[in-house]
Amino acid sequence: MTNVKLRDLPVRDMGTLFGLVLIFATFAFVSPIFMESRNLVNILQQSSINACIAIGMTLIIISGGIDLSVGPVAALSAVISASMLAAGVPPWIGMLAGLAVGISCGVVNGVLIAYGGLQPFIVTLGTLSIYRALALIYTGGNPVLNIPSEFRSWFGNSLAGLPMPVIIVCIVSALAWVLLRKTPIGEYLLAVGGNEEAARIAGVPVALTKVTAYAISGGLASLAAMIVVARLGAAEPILGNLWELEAIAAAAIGGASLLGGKGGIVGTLLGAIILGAMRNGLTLLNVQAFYQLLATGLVILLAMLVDRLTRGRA
Amino acid sequence: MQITKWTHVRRHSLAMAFALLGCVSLSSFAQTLKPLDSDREPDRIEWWQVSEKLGALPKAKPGVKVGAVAKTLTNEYWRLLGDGYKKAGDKAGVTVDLQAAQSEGDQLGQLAIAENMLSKGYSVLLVSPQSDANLQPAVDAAAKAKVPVVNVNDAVIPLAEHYIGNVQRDNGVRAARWFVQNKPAGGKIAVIEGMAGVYAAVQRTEGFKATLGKESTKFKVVASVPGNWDRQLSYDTATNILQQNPDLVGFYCNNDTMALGVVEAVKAAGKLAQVTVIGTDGIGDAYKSILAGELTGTIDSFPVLTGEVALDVSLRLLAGQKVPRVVATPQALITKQNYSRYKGDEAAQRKALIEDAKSGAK
Amino acid sequence: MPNPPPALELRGISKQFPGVKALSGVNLLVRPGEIHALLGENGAGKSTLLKIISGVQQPDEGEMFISGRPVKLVGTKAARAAGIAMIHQELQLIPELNAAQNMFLGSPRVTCGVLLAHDAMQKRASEVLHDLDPGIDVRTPVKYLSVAQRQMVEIARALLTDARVIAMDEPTSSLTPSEFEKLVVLIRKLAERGVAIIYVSHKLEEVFELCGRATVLRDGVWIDELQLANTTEPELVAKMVGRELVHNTRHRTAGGEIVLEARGLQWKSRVRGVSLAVRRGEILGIAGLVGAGRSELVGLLAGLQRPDAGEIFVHGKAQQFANPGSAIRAGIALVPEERKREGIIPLMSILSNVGLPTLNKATRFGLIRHGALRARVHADAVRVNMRPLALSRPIRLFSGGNQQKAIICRWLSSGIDVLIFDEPTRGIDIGAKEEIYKIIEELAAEGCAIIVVSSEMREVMYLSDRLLVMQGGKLAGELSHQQYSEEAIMTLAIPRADMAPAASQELS
Repeated sequence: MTNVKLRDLPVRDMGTLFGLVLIFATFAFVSPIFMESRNLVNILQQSSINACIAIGMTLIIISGGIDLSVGPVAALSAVISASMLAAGVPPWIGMLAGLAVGISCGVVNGVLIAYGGLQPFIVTLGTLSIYRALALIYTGGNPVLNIPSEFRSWFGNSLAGLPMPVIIVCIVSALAWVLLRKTPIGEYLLAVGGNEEAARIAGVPVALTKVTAYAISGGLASLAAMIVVARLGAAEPILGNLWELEAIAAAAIGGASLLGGKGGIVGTLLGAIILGAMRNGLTLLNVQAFYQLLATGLVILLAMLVDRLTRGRA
Repeated sequence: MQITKWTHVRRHSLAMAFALLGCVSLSSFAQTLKPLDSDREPDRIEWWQVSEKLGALPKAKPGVKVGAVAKTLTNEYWRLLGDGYKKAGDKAGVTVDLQAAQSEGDQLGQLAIAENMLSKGYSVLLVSPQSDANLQPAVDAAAKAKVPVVNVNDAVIPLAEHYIGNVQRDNGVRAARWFVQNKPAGGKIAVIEGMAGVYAAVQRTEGFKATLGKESTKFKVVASVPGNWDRQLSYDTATNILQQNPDLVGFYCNNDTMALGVVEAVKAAGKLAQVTVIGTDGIGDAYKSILAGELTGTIDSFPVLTGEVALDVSLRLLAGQKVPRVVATPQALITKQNYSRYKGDEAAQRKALIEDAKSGAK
Repeated sequence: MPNPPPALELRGISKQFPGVKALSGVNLLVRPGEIHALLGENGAGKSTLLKIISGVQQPDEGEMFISGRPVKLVGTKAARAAGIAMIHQELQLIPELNAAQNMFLGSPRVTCGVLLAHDAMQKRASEVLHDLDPGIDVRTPVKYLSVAQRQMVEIARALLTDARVIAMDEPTSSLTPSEFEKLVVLIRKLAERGVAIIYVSHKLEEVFELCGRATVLRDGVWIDELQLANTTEPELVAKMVGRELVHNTRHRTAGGEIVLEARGLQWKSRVRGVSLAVRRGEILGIAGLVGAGRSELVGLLAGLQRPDAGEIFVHGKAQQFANPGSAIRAGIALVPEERKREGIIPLMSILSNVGLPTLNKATRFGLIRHGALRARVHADAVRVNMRPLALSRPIRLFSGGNQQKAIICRWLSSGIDVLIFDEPTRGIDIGAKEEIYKIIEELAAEGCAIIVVSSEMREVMYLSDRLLVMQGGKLAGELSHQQYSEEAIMTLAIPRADMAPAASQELS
């Protein structure tokens, strides 16, 4: 019975997949090393952080909201977790502390939005500054070093040729997919984003649903932060700059509607990989940064046009 | 705050960290290098000594391709550094490809670019990292692929085998000394910082304040606020500072873009005679302003020259030459008075900088 | 004497949608000055036909003539330019803009250079609107106008463009009797001016009063064109639904225990000290004019708002509802008035829309048991005669009647004790209406306590065992089944000063 609501989604996902294949084919044609397995692993690795953030963003966008504060949430949990790690706290406690910070930040966002009745855009715009400021104040602007190698090796290893971050994101995606498609909370997210008042009258716990979405987004932001800290061996308070926009872009390319009520995990993953593959391929072709930016913008607009053309054809 | 003390013991704690890392022996770190302190590394050489000590540049093998990863191209400094790479590359007959992150602070984006360039198979990588840490995975991967990596300027990768450039902190030190020597009466000073938390901004500001405090008692830093590398924001900030402190004697700015904004604010306040403005980088517009008698001076780190030196060194590495770990490149505070000495033709500039270095002038 | 050419004529119009033949060879002929009824159940193809007339959709086959000249209308602009205006069932005004601004939306603007000439626009708008309803100030933002007033603005908007054909889709669905009377006068006036009116309504009494001829559609097929003067209501209904409807004359006296009781409910100035009780198996009707506070009252009972004062008891236990969810847990659910805004979640499937309130009961290890859920929803959908029975299709693709059935399905197997219907059949065709009445009666027979709020007096009288009449936020009185008459209800519902003899006459 999984095709219950998937019925009209695959059309859109097929479109995204087609775009991805097209981009891969183009790059493979002009750059012979693009399709080498090492490079493909590179693309997945480089897309994994954005994918992790974008999954949380997708859940929020589906619920009709937006989370601009993901980058600073990541930075704050990174520096707090890293300073605990550097002080000799057992790595798993440090990591859980980081995740707890992220989830708490998300809950604060969610409570202000769901119970305070404030607009998501404005709330997370505010907390974007606040969380960033806390991270800078906490560190005095300096990076936190001395990350223990045990912690680094957790995320640095490979399994079956795939880097740990890619595997983590795969697991996270699977869980998010189940959440969205198989649990009441997933239906609630779609319902709240699709028609909040109707959902409320049908007895959906609207506020709780929203808070859950923001908490998940915060948790995933801090998970991404852990991966970055482990990879770089340092936690910087300026980490996560512009993550929110890239995540929104991935979700939008994947078919999520900023009006709410529409979106999916598969599409968002494909969107993140499209963005990663673009950056990778254009660098291999030695295209300058400004033109890469241009290309990224065009891909987003193209995806929106495809969206418009396929709408109602579900 | 628990973390702030690390500012002062930064290098020290780094040493501890990597001693520890060495013991644990992470598989990816093949060699145990001491963490780099580009200021005090004993295995060093001045840029002008390179050809004196190592001889003429060996002819590059055919097919050598040099990859360069800059910080961002929205800042003239990094474009000029790239020009230096290209200039030296053309002279030596090798291809140079320059890539850059999309914005200042785009750490993961820059890492992705560096990794992608590695898969493309360049012979050597010249990198200017966004932060000490962000390119570390690419450096590890390069080591595995036996591609030499040269760290050019700004942030210092602790395990870098080769570093070319100046010291960010030294930039602030020079500005502070200029105030001490040229404004013996002292007075109120304001600092316009770069983006909060960005490495270069933190280091330059810290060097400036520490030196000013150490070498004179007559100065007081009344404001030290971020201008985010932005002209407009710096203009507004400077206007407010001047209103608050009408007797201010000088501004030190972490880059020239901000300094030019500050100059406009000073002009608008009618205090050009009273207030000194020192910028950083030595971009074209800054010199126009200096020659017009508005901006007092800028700490030029000679990006074109630095780029040429970096490319020269990377080709020597490829030819198998042993180059000291740090190649120091020059910095100089240039004002209207000494402009002609540094900004004449290239040969004259090199001559002047070599003279400076030999006389030990800082 | 030669007849003038028909204002609008359609010949052999067909329209195919993916999987559905919406229209097949439909004809329609409307003469200038004629008020022509377009009749049929929901899903009969009226909406599609109106969309084709107003240029929103283009027919696959068939011809269209305006004043005898063949036309092809692509886009609403083209239709407007050809003199066709559409008054929608769900009024399409922008609440924040004032009446004049709304009237000029999409019309050639009166401009002064590039700027809108607000004064000139206002003057022109108020000239047109004054004819219809002198009580409306064109500078009033539309959100402050009553539904009837908004309709006047819509009609005025049509007149502004000198429309020669005006199609009205369910124009009276939310009007009070006196408002309806005004509309009748207005429509006749328009017809006298030579405007051709296409009138779509489910209220056959209106149709008989107002219209001369009627075109009947069923399942996308043209059935007949009738002279209404020579037709009886049962004949007409038979043509529409293809069968005769059985009329119910059920009488019942409820005897179960009290399930829900409210004492002294107070909310802002809209609900003022209302007490009521409803028993197991009883259908309690609530009548009153628009704005009498009926929706607000049932909103308090269903937890949409919290009362400022007063108490609610469920099975004798005092309850306070923080939100609709807590009311549902206590056993009270609402089928809301505005289906689009409060009822359906348009992008989601029928299955999801129906399953929404009961998902928690349909899980195992936190995961939804889709198989069991679908089986249950399927059974309920069969029970309410959902058409088509495509549970995975997004609900927005269904007709209003089927959407309403889905909303009712939510509560069929949910173990709810009290089900409140606010305008259960608004905008729903006769066939579906009967089916919904049947479900409501079945639920009551099974022991559910039912509250029905309706503006259609025949509907509340038909359904309810007992009737409360509200006026100005208060209970004006209670009628037992024996006391039911439209006159008795209106006497209680209308504020004294407003009570015009003409209005009550119209109610028969």
